[in-house]
Amino acid sequence: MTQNDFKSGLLSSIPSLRAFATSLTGKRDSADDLVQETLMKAWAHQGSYQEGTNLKAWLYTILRNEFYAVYRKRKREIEDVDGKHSEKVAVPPEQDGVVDFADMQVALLKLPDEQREALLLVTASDLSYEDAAVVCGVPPGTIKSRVNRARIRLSELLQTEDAARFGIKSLLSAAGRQG
Amino acid sequence: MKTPLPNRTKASPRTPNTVEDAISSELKSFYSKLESQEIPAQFLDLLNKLDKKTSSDQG
Repeated sequence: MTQNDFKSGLLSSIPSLRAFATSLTGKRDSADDLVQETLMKAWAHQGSYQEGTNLKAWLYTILRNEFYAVYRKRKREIEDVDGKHSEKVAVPPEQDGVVDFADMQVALLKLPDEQREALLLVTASDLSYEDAAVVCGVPPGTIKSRVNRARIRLSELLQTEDAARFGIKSLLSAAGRQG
Repeated sequence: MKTPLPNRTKASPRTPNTVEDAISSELKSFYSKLESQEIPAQFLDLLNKLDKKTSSDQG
């Protein structure tokens, strides 16, 4: 892979990296710091990327490692002081479907780390179970069960968050719209 | 479309959970909204800088 190809690969991955980072951190500033670190690390380790493998998955791996090494630690320190940290969200209060984006962000941040990342990689980012397994360093079967548990937990959280606005009825009609 | 894993471990041909399917599609919509945001100039600058530096180091 030429330097130019690699560069355009990184460039076209930036929107996904930002979405992943924002969903992980819940904060736009931290997310962009995380993306910046990821791009610099990726560039420095360009030689270790195996051509033909999923570049996005490779970049997600770097971002995820960085997140756990630095930002997750920092977030825990903040949470010790301020338990309501996760209520401050990065996304504006708007929605496309029945769920307000800020509600989604808050609910995501309440998922256990390993469930959140699996859900984001597979359901939101369309990685295969196999690629997500490589990113998280666990077997594909583990990813699958984490995704399932995450979906159940997220449904519970969102229904508890705002039962009135996000009732079963609107959910079912949203499901019908998909089918 | 995801390729389903072989259901050797736990066959669960239960009725699909519509609530959780709805949640998944809400999550996708949330995520693609995030993905559709414009790339900040700082990232383009960064890549150009790295590109230039590597080229001059090599050349």
